[in-house]
Amino acid sequence: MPTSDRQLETKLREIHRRGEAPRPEASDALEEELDARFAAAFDGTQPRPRRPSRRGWIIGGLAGAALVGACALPAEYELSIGHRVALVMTGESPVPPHELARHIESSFEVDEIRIAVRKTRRTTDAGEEAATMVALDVVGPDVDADALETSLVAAFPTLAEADFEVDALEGTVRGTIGGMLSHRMIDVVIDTEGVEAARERILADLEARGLDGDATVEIEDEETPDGHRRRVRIEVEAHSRD
Amino acid sequence: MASERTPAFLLRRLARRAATGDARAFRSLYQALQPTVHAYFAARTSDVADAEDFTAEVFHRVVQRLATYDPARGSPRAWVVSIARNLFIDALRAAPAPATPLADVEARLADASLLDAEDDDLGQRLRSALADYPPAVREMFALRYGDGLRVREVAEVLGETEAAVKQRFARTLRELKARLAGPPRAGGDEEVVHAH
Repeated sequence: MPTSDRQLETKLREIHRRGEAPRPEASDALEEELDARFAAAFDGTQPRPRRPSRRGWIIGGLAGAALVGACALPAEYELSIGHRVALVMTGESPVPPHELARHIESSFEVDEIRIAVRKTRRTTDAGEEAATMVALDVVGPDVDADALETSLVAAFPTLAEADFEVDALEGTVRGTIGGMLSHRMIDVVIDTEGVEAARERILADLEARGLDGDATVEIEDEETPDGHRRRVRIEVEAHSRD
Repeated sequence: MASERTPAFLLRRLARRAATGDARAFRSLYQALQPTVHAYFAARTSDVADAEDFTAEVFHRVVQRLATYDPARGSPRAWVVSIARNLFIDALRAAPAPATPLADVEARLADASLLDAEDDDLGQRLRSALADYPPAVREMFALRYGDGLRVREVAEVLGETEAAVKQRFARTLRELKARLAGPPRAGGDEEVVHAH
């Protein structure tokens, strides 16, 4: 009975019990008790004043034949849109990079995968040696970073010797962040719920990430020789709670 | 499940602010981590009241130790689960005589979150296969797939290197997959195919 990596991981989660949820009244009572304990423990300690570090910016529009939005977000805005998996191996990659991408595509729900291969050299205890770095940008907000690496090594045992580095794709790909916001949220929300709903979604998203802020969303529609063009301008102003 | 979790960077931010005496940040930290801690005990004690008592004790310790907690040394989630795990070990060892042998403590940590319920063939074979692994490996799987910790967090809780835990996960998953790909053995007494 062949089992895919995804089936195996799903079944492993199923057979492990997570336990019953806490009773709300018990959670609330404990929260109150902890508030008192916390106040006693930090008696006389004033919280550090909130730093009004203003992180502003934003944006511009982009053009497109149909519906295109664009926004630039500050580097500190840690919106996870996926992961970069970088593998560094001695010599040539034992597995063709496109097979790595194909495996990820078949094992995870991804929106996009980009591959970059670079010949490099690295220093080891044995001296300097030729190496290959394969970088896979896996775009998909629900992809589990650990599962990516585990799945690749399980599927291609020769990768066990590779150095893996998995980083979140966040502020390093601003253009993509703008694209993802546009594609995943802004376009759909504007069309189905309107501009104000889109603005509220953005504010909720900021709040969930520990930022206070405000946002404006402006839309300009125009007809061009290339067809209908919509320019979406999103301006976000946030204040860190740090 | 992972998508419902508060991101690690946000937990660290809350922990840093709470450590300076910010009550609002502490409350947010509690609200984010309390379900994980409660679930840890609920899965291992099968008693909601016991789980609530253990959870309360964990957060009492969090308040006591918060000022000295260094987020740079590990994720807040791994930190509180470590406190929970140590508390549970202490409780097992302090159980009325006869004292709980170490092997039994390890088995409780490893197996308490495995479901006893009947499930499909794949689930039964997977449970049977997992049972052949040492308690340390089973606990690793319980933390990962039962408690929903990241591999890095599992390593922090178990006091091991991330690389070692990653390698063990990869090897064990490969072995499990190979074993499940074969025909079921009669009587359920399958031969262990791994080597540690």
